[in-house]
Amino acid sequence: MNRLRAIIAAFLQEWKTSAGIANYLAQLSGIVVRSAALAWIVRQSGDQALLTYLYVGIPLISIWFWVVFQVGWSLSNELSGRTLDFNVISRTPVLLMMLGKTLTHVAYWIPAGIISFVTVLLVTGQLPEMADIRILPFSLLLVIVGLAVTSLIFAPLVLLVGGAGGFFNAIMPIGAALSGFILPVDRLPLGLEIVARCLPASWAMESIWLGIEGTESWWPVVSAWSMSILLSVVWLGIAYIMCNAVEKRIRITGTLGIY
Amino acid sequence: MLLYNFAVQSYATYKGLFYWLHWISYVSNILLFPIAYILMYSFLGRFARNPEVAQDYALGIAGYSMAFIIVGGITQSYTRDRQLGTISFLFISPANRLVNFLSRSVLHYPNALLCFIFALLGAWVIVDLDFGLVNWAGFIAAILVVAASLTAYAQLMGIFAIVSRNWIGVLSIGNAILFILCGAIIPITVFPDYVEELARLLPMTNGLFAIRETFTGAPFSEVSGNILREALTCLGYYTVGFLGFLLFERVAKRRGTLELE
Repeated sequence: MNRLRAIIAAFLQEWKTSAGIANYLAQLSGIVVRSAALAWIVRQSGDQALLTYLYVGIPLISIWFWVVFQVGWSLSNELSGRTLDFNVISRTPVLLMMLGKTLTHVAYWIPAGIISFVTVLLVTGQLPEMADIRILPFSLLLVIVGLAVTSLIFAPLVLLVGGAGGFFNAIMPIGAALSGFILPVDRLPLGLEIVARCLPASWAMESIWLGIEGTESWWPVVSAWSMSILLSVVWLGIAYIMCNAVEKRIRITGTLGIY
Repeated sequence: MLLYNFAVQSYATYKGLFYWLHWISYVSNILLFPIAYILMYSFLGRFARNPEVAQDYALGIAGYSMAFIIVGGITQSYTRDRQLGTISFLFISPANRLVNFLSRSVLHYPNALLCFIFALLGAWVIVDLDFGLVNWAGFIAAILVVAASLTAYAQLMGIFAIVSRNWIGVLSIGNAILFILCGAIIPITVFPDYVEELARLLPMTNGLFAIRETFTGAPFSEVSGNILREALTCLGYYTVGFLGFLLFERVAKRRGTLELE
């Protein structure tokens, strides 16, 4: 119960300190433009299956870009804003606080994903078509979970490797491609596909592709879901270890104020 | 002496106010960013349509990656100059404002060229960009002029960034305008005539046309008009940007609001 309370408190704190509406609207301009350009490319192809895939993928790109950016800097911002002090003197694990913050940014950027979806609809003028729509809701949930736990890793990483401004500008598009938000990962060059298979969202996106094309058996879908869940747990475990590493480094070296 | 001041100010503003100079950020923005965007757009273009279209997208993205690094670099320098309080020292000095204004962009210019080169390398590896027909003289001239006009555009955006103190917002909006209207992905011919004319007033639109044409072997004479127009665009943005810079100083001094939020 106390842990849940800690997550909710972190969620609310992050929500209140998130940038205001003017900043959000400025970011939306970039999101709308990127969505329009990607939708334009697919519209020219006339490939209905790919168009449907990108109806899901493009909004997810919009969410991913800002969730990874904001979550990635959130722990660092706690440190520089001196609010991490209170977390360190309490018994709440850093990971719990970061989970709350991650949930904030997912909730904060989902409306941007919806606007992105509407942009695709306006540019293409076509509705998506799925052979088996029953696969979509759970797959989408797994994609969001996968996207969130992948973002979570970057928060301690920024502190551990000493990330500087601009650190995420390449990670955002690379992550989008490797998570399968642009194309199913089996279309990527082999080297990139191998890396992509380590990300939970790529498996969940594969299940969405199966839902678009239609599948006679549910086994491939269930397998993809299982892999996505398994990898999400693994990534969460890595995030836990890394958050502990940050906490230990601060406690042992006593560098909270001068990290 | 003027040249020495110019060199010192170029170095100081670049080194002190451009935070992406840290090696992690530099590699991320100069090397990985263009390649990642090629992967996003050109690879999708090749898969969804055909290799020729992927080539067009690759050149568009290469141009956009120049815009990103230049506008990002220069706008953050302007915002930080105000946030860190260093611009006050300029305003109380008799330093030549034109020299100071021009010095702010000099060392950002090579970054744009590096981004373009890495974008092309990425496109060569990822979508097999074919360099067989390139008219190198025209191609290089077009790239140099486009980078210059993007620098001028970034200087103007920098004025908005110093006024608003929000360079990330200015970067988002400024680059969104370029990305959608300059023909990087969506050809400007699909827009209504008045939007197309408006797009031709933006940096990169005319130059990108020259870059694409010379890439497929067009002679310089065929694209010289576009390159000239791009150069005039550059001059126009520098002029408006400088006037904005002078106006900002005048308003800041009159109101005494430089340090206020």
